[in-house]
Parts: sequence; structure tokens; C-alpha cells
Amino acid sequence: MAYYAIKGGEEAIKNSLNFYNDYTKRSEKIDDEDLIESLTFSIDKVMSEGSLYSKKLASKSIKRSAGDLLNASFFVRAHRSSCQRIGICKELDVNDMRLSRRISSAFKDIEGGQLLGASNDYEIKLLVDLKNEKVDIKEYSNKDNVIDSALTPLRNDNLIKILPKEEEPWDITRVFPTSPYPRSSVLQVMSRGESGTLLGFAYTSMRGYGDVHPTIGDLRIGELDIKFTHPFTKKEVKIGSIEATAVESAGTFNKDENGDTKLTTGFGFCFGKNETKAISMSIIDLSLYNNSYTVGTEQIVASDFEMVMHHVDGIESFGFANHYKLPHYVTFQTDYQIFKSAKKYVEEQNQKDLNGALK
Amino acid sequence: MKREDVNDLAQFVKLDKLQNLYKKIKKNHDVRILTTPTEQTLLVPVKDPISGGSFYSGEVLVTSTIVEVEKTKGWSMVMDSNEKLSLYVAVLDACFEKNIFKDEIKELLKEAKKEIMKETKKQNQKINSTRVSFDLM
Repeated sequence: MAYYAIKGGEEAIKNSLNFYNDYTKRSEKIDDEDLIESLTFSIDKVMSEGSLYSKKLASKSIKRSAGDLLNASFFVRAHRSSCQRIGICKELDVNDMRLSRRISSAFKDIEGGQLLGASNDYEIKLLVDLKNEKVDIKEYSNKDNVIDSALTPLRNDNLIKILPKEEEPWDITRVFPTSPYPRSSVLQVMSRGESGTLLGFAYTSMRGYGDVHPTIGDLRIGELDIKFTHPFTKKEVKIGSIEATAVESAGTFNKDENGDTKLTTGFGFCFGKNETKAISMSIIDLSLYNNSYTVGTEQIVASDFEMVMHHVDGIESFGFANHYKLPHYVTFQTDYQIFKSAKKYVEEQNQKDLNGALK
Repeated sequence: MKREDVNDLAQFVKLDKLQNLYKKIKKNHDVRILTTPTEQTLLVPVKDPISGGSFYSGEVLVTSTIVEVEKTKGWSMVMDSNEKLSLYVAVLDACFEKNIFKDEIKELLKEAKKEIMKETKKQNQKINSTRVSFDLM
């Protein structure tokens, strides 16, 4: 496959861009603050897939692309590559999260309890106006909720399968690794992957091509502090906080590297509030590191590292799919000419054969 | 209150209040901008509970500035794209160290802290109102 550079068309391109701007410019009238507060899940999706936590840029990108979220993520990712990376913040631990939501479908009674948070899980999905019942919020506790994962007690009791620890995490934005892929690179790819693609991959493992039917051990949404070293005092300083979603899902029991049978788990983490993405990531994680192939064949998509590493990035797949719109005249005309020549050759051969038979 | 609190708390002070104080400082003292407010990113490592290692989940956009107030250096790194905020916070950081308008800075930060705590408590009440324990049928 190849395509050739084109030239000309400047006027049409300019007019097309003007037309597009006219078509979408009303979105520019939306105030950034309003968009951030109202379309909060869209903002979070764009930050997560764009791999850059910036609500302002996510808002600008959504407006610029008139609500096309994949395109918006592209803007954010492009901006990311234009900024200097100043360093690495202090490692985040999801157990330090100030929780706004925390549920478990594995355990009914967990230490710290379950918090539904702001959720519409139990909403009747009808487009009718539902009355908001007034609740006196003052009667409830105003304490923070910082609670360990519901799987921590099992982990402390050595009942959960652990995987080998890497000394240093890989950074795929500097060098993309080759197989066998370090676990950190796999998690990084999925953490910035496209939500729908991760969902699709995870769904294959639940449906017809795998055997992962997990239970959500711990699903949490909340805030985590970003900390960095002050250059003059050399002491730790809080830069701010980010919202994030983390999921630990529990699979079946499997043998670890010592041959002991342990509970298998998968981990999902992403910027912002995006439960579907974090759950999907945790399922793929389970499938990649604990495949047992009781359903389907050994060609299971969600257990294939190559498949996951090279196909879940939204910006890359979006770019590749959309480049087919650009002129490929030479490619296609070459194929078409070969096809026509081959057809003519076959017709001539057939005619020769017919003439020979008639003689 | 420590110097390390300035960077975080000052981000919650209303921008016009910070601007007023910045103007006052600039009028009476020598303020030099050594590094103009610049958008940068911080890589975010997250602990992987399964291996105990970590992985990079993405980057955070920050705006950093370095200033000098009466030959004392000040620094800020604020969340997101926020040039003015970053400049004002860096100046406050230097002034806090140099004891310039320190009481006024402390007062602003205390107010901000009070407001944060008030908002957090309100938010926590909403969150805690959703505490659930389902009954088995």
C-alpha cells in the first residue's frame, strides 16, 4: 500500500476549512467552565485517551472538534507532544484516593463500606423528567473516605496471585517495546487506550472468545494528589489533584509461578471518571496474564499481547483509518490497470483457444 | 504554615485577589521573571497492585514559573494552562521566603484553606449520603 503526494487544490481546501469553521463555530460560544462542569464525562474521556490531564485543553478540543471526542483526544495528544516534559511526579497509589465512589460486587460487607457516589446505575433509562427528591445532606458525616482496596485483606493473606515486579516502568512514549512486552508498557498502552476499543476487546473474552467472567473486587473513583519536588527547598510540594478511576477485578483461581493456586486479579486505571474503560482494562489484564482457554480457541483476542499492544490506541487507529480518505489515486489506478490488463490478457487467451479449437 | 503550602493553597485564592497583591509587591519591590510561565508536563506513575511495580498512566499539564524578588528565588507549578496564576504564585513563594507581605500572604492562604475545607465537607456529606449496604434476598 502506498499513496502519493498531491499538489494543488489550495483554494478548495481553504474554502472547505472556512465552511467547516462556519459549520462548527457555534461550539466556540460555549464557556469552558460550563463545558467542564456539564459534559464532565466527555472531558474525562478526552483527557484519558489524549493521555494529558488538562480540563481546559480538553474543553477547547471538544469545542474545536464540535463534540467529536476522538478528534478532540487527537488535539490533546498533539498538544502533549508540543510541551516539554519537566519530570515525573510522585508515584500514585489508588489506596490513597479520596473517594467519591467505591463499590464492590464481590463482597457485600467491606471495611469502609460501599459508596455509590454520583451514579446513575440504578436509574430507569427513560427520557422522562424524574423528580429529584430533596435530601437533607447535613445529617450525613462530612469525613473524607480514604480506604484501602477491598482486595487488600486477601492480598495481605497471600491469597492473590502476584506477577513479577519490574525495577523501572517502561515509557512507550519514548521507545515502543518489542515482544515480550514489559507489564508496565502493557498497562500504559491500555491506560491511554480508546474506551470503546478496550470495551470491545474485553467483551470478546466474556462472550465467545475467552473465559473471563470477573467480579468487581473494588471499583473506585476519587482524587489523587500530584506531588513534585520544589527546586529550591528540595521538599515535596503538592501541585494539585486529579480525578481517576481504578478497578481491581477478580477472576478465577490459577497457579502462580511457584505452582500455588491463587486468586487471579486484573487492574484497570485511567484519568477521570470512566468506569467502563477501567473495568474493560482490568478484564483484558486478567485475560492477558491468566489465560486458560476453556472457551474458544487459543487465538483469543483479549489474551494476545500483540493484538492489545498494537490495536487499542484511539489516536493511532483513528489516524490510520482516516488516512484512507486522502488521495490514493496512484495506488488505486495501478491496481485497476493491472486488473484491466489481466482481464484483457485472459480474454485474448480465451479467444486464441477458441480459434485453435475451431481450426 | 510552611513555604511548601504556598503552591497548593494559592491556587484556590481568587485570581483578582492574587493580582492585587502581586501589583502591590511589584510596586514596592524588585520583581524579576527568570523563567516566564511555561506549559510543561509531568509523567504520572501509578502503583500496580498486582506486581508491586508501577506504570505511567499519562501526563499532567502544569504551568511553571521562576521569579526573583529582592534576590530571593520563587517557583510555582500550578495545574493546567494557567500563566497568570503561575506567575502570581511564584512571586508569593519568593515573598514568603523573603518575609515580604508574609502576613498578608498567610491571611490569603488561610482564607483559601477555610474555603477548601468548607467545600470538602459539603462534598463529603453528599458522598456519605450514598453509603449503601444491600440486603440479600
